[in-house]
Amino acid sequence: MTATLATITYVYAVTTSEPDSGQGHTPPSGGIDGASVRALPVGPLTAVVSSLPRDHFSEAALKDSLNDLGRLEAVARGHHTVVSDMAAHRPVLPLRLATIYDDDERVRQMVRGRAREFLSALDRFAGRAEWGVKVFTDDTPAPADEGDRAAPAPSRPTTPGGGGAGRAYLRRRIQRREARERAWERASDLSTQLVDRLDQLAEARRRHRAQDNQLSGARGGNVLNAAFLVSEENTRAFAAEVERWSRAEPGVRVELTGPWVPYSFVPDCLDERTAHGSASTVDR
Amino acid sequence: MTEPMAWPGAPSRVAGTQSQSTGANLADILERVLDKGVVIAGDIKINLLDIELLTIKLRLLVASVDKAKEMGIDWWEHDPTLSSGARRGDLAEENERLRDRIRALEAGERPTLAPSGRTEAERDGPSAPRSGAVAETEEDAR
Repeated sequence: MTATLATITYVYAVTTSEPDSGQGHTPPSGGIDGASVRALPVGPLTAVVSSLPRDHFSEAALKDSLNDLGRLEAVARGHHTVVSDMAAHRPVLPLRLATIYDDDERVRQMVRGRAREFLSALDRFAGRAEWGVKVFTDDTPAPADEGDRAAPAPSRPTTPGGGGAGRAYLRRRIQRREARERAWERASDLSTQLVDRLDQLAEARRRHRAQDNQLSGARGGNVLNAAFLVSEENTRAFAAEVERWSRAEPGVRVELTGPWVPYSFVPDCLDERTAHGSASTVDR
Repeated sequence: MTEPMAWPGAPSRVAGTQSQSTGANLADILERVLDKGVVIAGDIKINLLDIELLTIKLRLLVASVDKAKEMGIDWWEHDPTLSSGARRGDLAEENERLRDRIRALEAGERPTLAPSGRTEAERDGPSAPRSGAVAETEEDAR
């Protein structure tokens, strides 16, 4: 084996080598840990890379660091920033976090070997962006809604014949549970209709796992978490449609995020997880 | 064609649709950079299962998940506060608990009320650390 370098080559993304359509190419200011970001041309394609210290990005080191939430966040945000900065000027094919090669030449070999797949995927992404749409139940109950359904407000005294504080407590608990169930059902119904409408404006859709509030910082239950691939032409209509539905139902919240680089729409043929039938494809 | 679109790193805001403000939220970024994007086996191999485990860990934000998994504890998979898919299961679980209790009552046992508000019969049930208890406590606290 040849002597190993002190650095590894970290690949953020693959993009086209054509000159920029717009204002000239400004390379992303900083990559992971502030490392400089380089363009590695390979024929019609360009790999976007950084050299990073091997001892921080070995298998063992990564296993530790990626399991540390603070460190993971730094690496993930660094990766994401480079990918989205690049996408300001050209279609970009984002690679998964921590795609790492021994040196630049190994990256060139990889890009050469997959050039045809990369080019066709980049072509598909041109002029399109990913938008995230989430639907939440709002935990703060809407007063109008409580009235509609004739459920007593929490402050109202217990009904006659209730029989003591214990029973009143149980009744309140049941009411709270039922209110949550109803909110969940309304949010689910709205999600179904919303997805139907958005499908007509989008070119593709992927469903993500519902998010945990502790990580997202969001309030309420995450009923829908979906990503849509939307063309520039349809972007305004898409956003307007989401906004319209965000006012449709009290107690249900709709959120739009984006534009994202189309991470969620990388073709399956490029995904080695699909080819190998790995466990990670389960529940997607 | 509309005007050229900007691609900022942070999510843009559409009036009235977003309660969160600045910066893309970490969950949104992680579900993309960890889970999506082109997966190519580089020279440094990272076990996808490690990453999968990591995402479970993130849902919990606790350090001892490996240990918990070794012990066969996987209640978070069914916990409605952690996984929305399990929310339906919550009710089913409560029904099951109530049925157990009815059976116990019909069999002539007198379940005594434990300090926690749950009965001894339930606490001594075969599948001891039940997810429902955790979920209920958290939900009631709201």
